[in-house]
Amino acid sequence: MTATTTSASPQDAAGRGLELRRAGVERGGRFLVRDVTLEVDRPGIWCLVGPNGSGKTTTLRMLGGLWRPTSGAVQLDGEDLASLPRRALARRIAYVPQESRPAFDFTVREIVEMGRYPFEGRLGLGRQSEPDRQLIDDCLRRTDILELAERPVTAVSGGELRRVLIARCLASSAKVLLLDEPTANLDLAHALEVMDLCRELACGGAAIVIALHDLNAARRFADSVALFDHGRLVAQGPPDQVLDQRRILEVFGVESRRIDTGDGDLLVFARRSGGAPITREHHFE
Amino acid sequence: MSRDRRHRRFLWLTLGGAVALVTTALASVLVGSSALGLRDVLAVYAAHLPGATAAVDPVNDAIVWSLRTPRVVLGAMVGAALALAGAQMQGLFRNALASPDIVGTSAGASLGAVITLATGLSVRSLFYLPIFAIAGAILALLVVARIASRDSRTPIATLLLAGVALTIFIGAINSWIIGRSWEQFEAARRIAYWLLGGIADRGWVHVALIAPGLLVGVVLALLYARDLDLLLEGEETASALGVEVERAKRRVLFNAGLLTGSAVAVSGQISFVGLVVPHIVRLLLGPAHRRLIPAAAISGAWFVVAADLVARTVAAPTEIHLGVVTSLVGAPFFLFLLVRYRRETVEL
Repeated sequence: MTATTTSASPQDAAGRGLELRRAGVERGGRFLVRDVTLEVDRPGIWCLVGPNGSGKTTTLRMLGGLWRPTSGAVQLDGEDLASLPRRALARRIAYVPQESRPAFDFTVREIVEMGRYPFEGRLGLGRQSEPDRQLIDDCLRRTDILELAERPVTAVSGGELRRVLIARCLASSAKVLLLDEPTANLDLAHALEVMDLCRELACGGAAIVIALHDLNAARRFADSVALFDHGRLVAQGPPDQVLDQRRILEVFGVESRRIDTGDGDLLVFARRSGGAPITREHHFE
Repeated sequence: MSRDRRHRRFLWLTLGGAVALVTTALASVLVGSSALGLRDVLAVYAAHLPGATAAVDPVNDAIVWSLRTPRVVLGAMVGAALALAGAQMQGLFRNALASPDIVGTSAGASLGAVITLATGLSVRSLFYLPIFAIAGAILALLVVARIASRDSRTPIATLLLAGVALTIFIGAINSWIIGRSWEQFEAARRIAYWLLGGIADRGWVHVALIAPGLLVGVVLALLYARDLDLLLEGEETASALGVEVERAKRRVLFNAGLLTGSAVAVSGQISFVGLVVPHIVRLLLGPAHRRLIPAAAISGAWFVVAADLVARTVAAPTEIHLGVVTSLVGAPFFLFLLVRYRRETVEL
């Protein structure tokens, strides 16, 4: 007799979450990303770190099904992403690109409601059912922007905008969130706010993949770090193991030192010793 | 401005617009060189109700039923079509200055129309006119989208320049065709009649020409209203939110061409309706297309009917061309927008 285990998450039953298998993207005869194998198989925060043009954004786009890998595969619970319709995908994976400056003055609530698109029918004048309205309210509350709901999105601050876009991800009820540089152009307080929010959501069962420049933030918030260099995934694992002095020097070309602050370690950086200029051929995405 | 307020405004605007449309249309039927009373007009309409037997003055009937009413109805339909085309193109290009006449879509449609008139296809069946005009409009849109859009963005400058270049290029071809056909009197007469027409001297047959395109266009515009909302957020975001972006763009592009072509086929170029109307409606109601599309259609219909009324009456007994009136209103508005966007340095 088989007893159903109530503790098993849906992912356990169906497959292995979201994974890249030796995935690569070739554009114009050049590999943007090559041979990346990455598994996002449980709730938590995954940080993708690396220099500009090392392949973080490309990897996120593959994970979101926005770019198809030209080699290898991307799978969600054992299914190939390319075989899933966009609407079905949008219910399970949410993605926020880096540059998301709004040009049109939807209200914050209207922006968040866009997350419900994959569940909407074609008709209707935008009037929602009561459960949907409550769900939107809930998303606004969890991201602490309920009081901004009726404000035009063109009139909110950068930090608020990030929370609005994350609220939209929540509205889609996707369990996987992909965020490209969610703290770019934010001041310290707002950046911390966004990262704390990500931590909360991860505790609530979301798997969040974040492309991030700030190595200290990655060390502090990530459950797992993936380090990229020239389109390759060079190391992957717990932040303290991945981000050691040798790798930081190899990949970023800077010296680093770890300082014990009494409240966790902090990395400080300096130019390569000897004062030689950093000559690395970084291409920009 | 809150969403509820925008929604209230939407209800007021559509309701008020509908009332204004009917009132203006009625005024337009009443006013003219031969004065008619409301009673006369209503008598004519009553006589055309199914099963009606009452006899009316044949002169009144000719004026009301054959001349003025089709003109007003056609004006409303052309206005709705152009405003809808503009609203969708502004969404498609994510650019509040995109509209059929600015980016060369109307020019493409007029090329299609001129070809059918010059070759005599339109003599075989008038329906070649909208078909070719629609094809021309869609082709022109494809060309502009191809040239001006890069990485899913369409900067204002390249969009406008591509539109200008295309309009001049097509204008040259049109002139060439018209010049050649000048030797054949009949073709020249058809083209001149079409070019000068606006919506004057049009009949029920022209209503029949624009009706299918407009009907399909309205339905499609409503069906894809939500997709357009998401496209405004950028193609990558729209795709991540579940929109089949390429398919949605193709459909919107087709639909904008369908509406522009249908309108241009019966009325020639009536400038700035597709720019001014959706723009003002968006200022009032916000960018959500489920409100914008219906409101723009009604407002566009009213705008053209009202402009036509002005065109007919302001210099009576002579008539001004309808396109002159819409341009006199629209061109300053367009310049105002340009200046405003330059000052705000907003890249739309």
